[in-house]
Amino acid sequence: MADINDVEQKLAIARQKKDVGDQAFKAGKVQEALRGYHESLLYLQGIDKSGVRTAFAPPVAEAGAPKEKTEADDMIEKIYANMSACHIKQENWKRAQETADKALAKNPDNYKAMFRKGKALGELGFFERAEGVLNDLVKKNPSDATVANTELSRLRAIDKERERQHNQKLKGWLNRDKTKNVVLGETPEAEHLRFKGQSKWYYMART
Amino acid sequence: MVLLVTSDNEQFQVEKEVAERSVLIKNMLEDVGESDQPIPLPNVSSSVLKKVLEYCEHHRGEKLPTTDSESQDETRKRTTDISEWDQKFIAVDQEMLFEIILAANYLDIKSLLDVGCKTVANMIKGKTPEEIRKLFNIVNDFTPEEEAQIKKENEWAEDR
Repeated sequence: MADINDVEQKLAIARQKKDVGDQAFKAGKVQEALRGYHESLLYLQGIDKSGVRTAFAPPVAEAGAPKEKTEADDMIEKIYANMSACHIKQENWKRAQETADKALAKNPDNYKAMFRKGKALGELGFFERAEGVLNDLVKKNPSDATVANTELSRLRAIDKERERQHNQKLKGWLNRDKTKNVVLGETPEAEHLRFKGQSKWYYMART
Repeated sequence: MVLLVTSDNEQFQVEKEVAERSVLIKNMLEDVGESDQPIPLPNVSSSVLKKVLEYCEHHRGEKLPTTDSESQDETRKRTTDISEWDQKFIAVDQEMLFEIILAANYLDIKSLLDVGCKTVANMIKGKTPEEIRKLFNIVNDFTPEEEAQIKKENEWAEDR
């Protein structure tokens, strides 16, 4: 159904839209870049319709034979990696992570996407996952070690600070609660309430 | 309002809430902000988009599945139940069913993709291989030896 000419035409438009995105990104116009990339994707996704590869689980690949990567796949990978950079610029960490993941789905060794995923995860508060991704990056591509490790220590510092603030809040909360309980404990009514509460828990545990 | 343009160059004015049933469109609108520039859908024809929009219109306002709800995903996949409205909606010829599934995948509308795939699953359920071949126009390219081998390997799954 989708003949060669049709596919060629769509690829040509997709290339042109991606170019618009790349240029805009270089000029610092992030939102315009995102538009170019989105529009390019609209042409690229589902381009090899005849294969129906994307709608259903891909046929089990022959052992060892990597799936053939088309030009469309290659462009999709690059676009998502670039989109992730756009989202990082806008500090939209969730979308930065999502798009980096999509680039990595096409190529798990896209080092830039790995770095961006790690950074986004750290900013989102998933420090351990960020650490995993960035350590993986250093292992796969040692020349990125300096950048990755610098980012890792920066994220670690953020994580420590978050934890400190969290603990402080929790401590304050517990203290407040304690004083309240003491006051409540003095009234017979509270005693009664506590007893009722207990029996209810007992009941629930039994059934 | 959002302006969608199909592969055969037809334009559809759609309410934002309806168009955003498509996660593809939702993400795009979120990323680039509101604008009256049309959104090209070069891989969907107008006849299919009409059907898809009918579905989106009916299910507007319902909660979208979140990306990180895997356990919910599991139960969603395990059942072949389809609601009454959806059943009527998806009672179309095979060609259209196929196109709807492709469009749902392209536009990233999980619930519609489910309805389509479950419908295909229900078509297959309980049929013999020969009946399934006839239903989907599949040529039997097994040699008799291969067929005997497969039957033997899958004997355990047969109803007795």
